[in-house]
Amino acid sequence: MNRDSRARILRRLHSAGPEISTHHHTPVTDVRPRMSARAGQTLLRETLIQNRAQVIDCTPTTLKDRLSSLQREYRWQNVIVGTHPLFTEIGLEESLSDCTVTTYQQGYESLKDTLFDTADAGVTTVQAAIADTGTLVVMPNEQEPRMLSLAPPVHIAILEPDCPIYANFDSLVAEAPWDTATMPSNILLISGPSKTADIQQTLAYGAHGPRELVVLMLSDEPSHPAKKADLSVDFE
Amino acid sequence: MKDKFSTRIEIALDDAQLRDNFSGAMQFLRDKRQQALPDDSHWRKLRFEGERIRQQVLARLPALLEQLETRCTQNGIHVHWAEDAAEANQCILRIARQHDAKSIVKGKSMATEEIGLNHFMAQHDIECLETDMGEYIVQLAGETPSHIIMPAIHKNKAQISKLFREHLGEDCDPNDVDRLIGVGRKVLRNKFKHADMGISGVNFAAADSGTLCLVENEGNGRMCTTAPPVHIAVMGLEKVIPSLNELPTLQSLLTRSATGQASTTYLNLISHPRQTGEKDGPQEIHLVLLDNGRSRIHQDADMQSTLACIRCGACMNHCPVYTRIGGHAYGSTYPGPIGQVVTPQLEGLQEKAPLVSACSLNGACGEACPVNIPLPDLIRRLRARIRTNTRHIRPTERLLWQLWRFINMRPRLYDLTLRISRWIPWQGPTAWRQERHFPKPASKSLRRYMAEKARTQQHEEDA
Repeated sequence: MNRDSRARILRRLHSAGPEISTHHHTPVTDVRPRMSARAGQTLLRETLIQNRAQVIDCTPTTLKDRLSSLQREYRWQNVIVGTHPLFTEIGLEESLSDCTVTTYQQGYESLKDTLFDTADAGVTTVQAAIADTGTLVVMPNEQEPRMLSLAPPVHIAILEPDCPIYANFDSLVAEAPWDTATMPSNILLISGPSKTADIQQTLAYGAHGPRELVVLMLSDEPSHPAKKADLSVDFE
Repeated sequence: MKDKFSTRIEIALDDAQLRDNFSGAMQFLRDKRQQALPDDSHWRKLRFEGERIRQQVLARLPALLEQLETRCTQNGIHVHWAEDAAEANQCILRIARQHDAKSIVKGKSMATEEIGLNHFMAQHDIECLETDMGEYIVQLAGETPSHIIMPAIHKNKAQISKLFREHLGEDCDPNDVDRLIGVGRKVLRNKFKHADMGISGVNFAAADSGTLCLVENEGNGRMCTTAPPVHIAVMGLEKVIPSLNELPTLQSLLTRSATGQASTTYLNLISHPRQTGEKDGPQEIHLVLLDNGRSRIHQDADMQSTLACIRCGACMNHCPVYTRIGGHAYGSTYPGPIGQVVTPQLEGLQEKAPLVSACSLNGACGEACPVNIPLPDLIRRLRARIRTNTRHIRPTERLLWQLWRFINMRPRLYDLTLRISRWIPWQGPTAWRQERHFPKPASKSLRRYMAEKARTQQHEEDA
């Protein structure tokens, strides 16, 4: 039955005339190479804040302190993380010693209660970012499942110093940090916390996803303070 | 009584609250869009490119669909073709039965509104719950969406708070929108957690990678496509795009036009069901390609651009008729200008003829359309077809046109009529007159004016 429908639909579509392919798409925004970490982070910080994300600057050494103070401030009881090697590297579990840290290493079905009901925050890394719209590109995988950035009321996103930052969406797509033949199961472009204006155009945050998006923006250790001087040049 | 378009218009116009809700909401959306537009030349380029992409898709539609099918299948997504609403519904029911699904959570999808999926599934004892906040409110009230982007736009806070009290037993201060959203969130999270199946629409589908693209702000779309073990995506077959390269242009046009955002909170790109080793995501993904009249429109060269639509809703936000009568008066899934063009083509020119008349041909929709669909032209073409193909002309209208023709073919009579017309005390309808003056015919006809002008010019030249 389905095969017949397919054939009939395609026959009708083909009868509309010969297929002409004349147009090659050229992006309207400027496709630019990746931004340098510093220039990208400066712009990204601004746009993320415009999108209502909380941006916290830190270095790999101060990250632990930042996380534990966040935990105390928000009184998180339960934080859920994936199995990305970064988390052991930075000693995430130690910095959150005052609360339960759940590791997302079994199937979703057995973790539903934690994800939906008890987790106060979910932590993920970020695979890329788009500066002009304040967007984080998150590609869930075996180590960092899809639900981490969705179900808990707070999403903590860690932006590593070498995270590629693109000027705009066209530039990201042009470089395509994925393989069209073997696409990642899920690619998420996240621009702020979940929100809705469905009730009389009044903006409310935390519709179904996280109410808050906390971005921990890591930069390299300031081992060469002299470099700070050329920041303006870099930004251009 | 409510089944006649003209009756529904009168009811809508008499409802002061409804008109208030709509005019406020439309003003809000128009302002938001205006603020989100980049500078004029960039916007023009973006719009031009968007139009080119969509026209190119229509020119290559069958090939792109076959490619999408192949790539999706390779990615582990099951692809189904449905000729009409009945076949799409049956297909979804079959999948639901295979998984013994009793409760389904749904993301926003106009295609499923078009096929009446919720109603159909309810008849088979399967609950289809809308999870977009606006759609949820509308479903709770037993209504249908009145706008394709903001479904509950016809309701205000007080009405929603009353609805929640009656149906959910929750007392909320109508001015506390956060609390109202919180109530919805609580109810629906529980549903996401336990649902047997999730259904979503598709904003764009990239043929070369087999990727479904969903645009949203709330996160319910991600929930519906991630939490339940089975995900069914229902897509009008015109929504295919060649590759992800075209996505930034179209996405930017869509979100800026729809809600005035440079980018929505989430852009969800789905290419595979849960793969070995992955901890979550649906075990199965099905894609239903819905024709339901689209391939017929595709064959019709004069009307094909109807299918270029990316469903942003800008045409209705800018339509003076929609703003005044609201979405429900149209009595069709798609209201406003795009609805006036789509509905008669899908459901029959004869039956839906009155829809096409609700237009002043002011052209605002055509100017607002982010992919430059010539909506006013399409409306005119449909009007012409209705006139030639059907007997929808009222005898009085026919007589008036015959009279007009008679006079216009006789210059002396025409001149005389114009002179006489200046002495007729024109009034116009009473309600209309309260705020307006009826235009008076000019003291001279254009012909006479030009003739006099030519004469004086001649005199000047002679002198």
